[in-house]
Amino acid sequence: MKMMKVLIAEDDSVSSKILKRNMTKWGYEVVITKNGEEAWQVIQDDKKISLAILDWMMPEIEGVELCRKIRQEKKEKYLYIILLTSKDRQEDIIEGFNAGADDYITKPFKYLELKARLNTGKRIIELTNELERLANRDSLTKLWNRRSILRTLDKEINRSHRENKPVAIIMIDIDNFKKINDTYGHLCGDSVLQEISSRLKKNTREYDEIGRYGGDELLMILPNCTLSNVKKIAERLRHFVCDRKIKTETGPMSVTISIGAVSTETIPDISDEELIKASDNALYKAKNKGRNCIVTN
Amino acid sequence: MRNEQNSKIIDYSSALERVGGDASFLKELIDLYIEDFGEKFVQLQKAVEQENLDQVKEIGHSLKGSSGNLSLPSLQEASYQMEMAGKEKNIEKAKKALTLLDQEFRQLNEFLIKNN
Repeated sequence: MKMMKVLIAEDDSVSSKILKRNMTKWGYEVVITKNGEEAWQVIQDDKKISLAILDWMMPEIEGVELCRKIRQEKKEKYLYIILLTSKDRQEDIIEGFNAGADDYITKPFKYLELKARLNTGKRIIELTNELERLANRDSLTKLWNRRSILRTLDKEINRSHRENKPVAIIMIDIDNFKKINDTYGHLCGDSVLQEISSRLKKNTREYDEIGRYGGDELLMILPNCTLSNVKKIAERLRHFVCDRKIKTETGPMSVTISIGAVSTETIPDISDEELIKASDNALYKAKNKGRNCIVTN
Repeated sequence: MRNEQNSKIIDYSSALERVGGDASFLKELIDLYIEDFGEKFVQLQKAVEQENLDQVKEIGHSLKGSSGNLSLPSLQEASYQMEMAGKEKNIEKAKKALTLLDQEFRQLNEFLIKNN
């Protein structure tokens, strides 16, 4: 697992120095903040932080209040929260848990106890990461699943409006896929789908995303991409998929794809649904032209 | 005896354990604490003067935290008294705690001079 990034909110500099030194030694990446307000800002801005240690009593916002605020926000990524409490506030531990804390440590902490509690937090975070992967990935092709790729599309369309740069999408459909399944069986169809997905993934730019949109439909999102560029990319993809046969249980198979490629360069101010529809229309035309080709808008 | 008194000033093995056995880091922290204490003590004097008991509570709490982390029991106790004085809005208690803090801090300095 990558290095876990942890935030500490503690106004006492001796305490925070000890925490940082120990935690860095144990392999965590540590960010220190001096009060609740600063901690809140950093949590908003830094998506990599997965665990936070909050001192109970702090200027600006109290630890337990900050905890409530974080839970209310309900973001995509879970933040594991540990509250630092003084021995005389044990009665408030219930309040801390009710506010959404995952654990607490009493001050002054013991070295090995801190290490052990952090390990537990790490275990929970790894669990949430695994769940996120399962929730967002298509299990057969390892591409993004439909829900996830559509969410990405929404994000990228918003971004393209903000940055005034066109976003392109490519809708890919495997030619005669139903026939492949009917003739050679679903296992064969599955391996064709997996191989095509793999070939496509190898040929994308770092910031492009591919998802499984339907049974044999794949949707690719290309930020900052003009019409002429998406046309070139689509053509290159088509060759890469179709020029080599695919190994299957029943022998090497020739497989082709049809592609509808569109860019908001020529259809600005378009909604998610309209953009998908445009690529669908282009794909439809490609099928009608005899398949194994690309049509753009 | 000597050792008992000293362990009230600092529980060295406990402090060392907390910093993972790094003695030079511990020394660095003690220096930082002394510097920090100096500043905080001045702030406390002002706060007591102005009868700003919220400040008294906050600073007392902060000192309690750092003293605790360095396993300085007497100073931790004195800081706790200060914090409580602030919480209870008891200015007399705060004045007493100020004297106590001053005393304990001197003891710490004496101890450090003798032992380093």
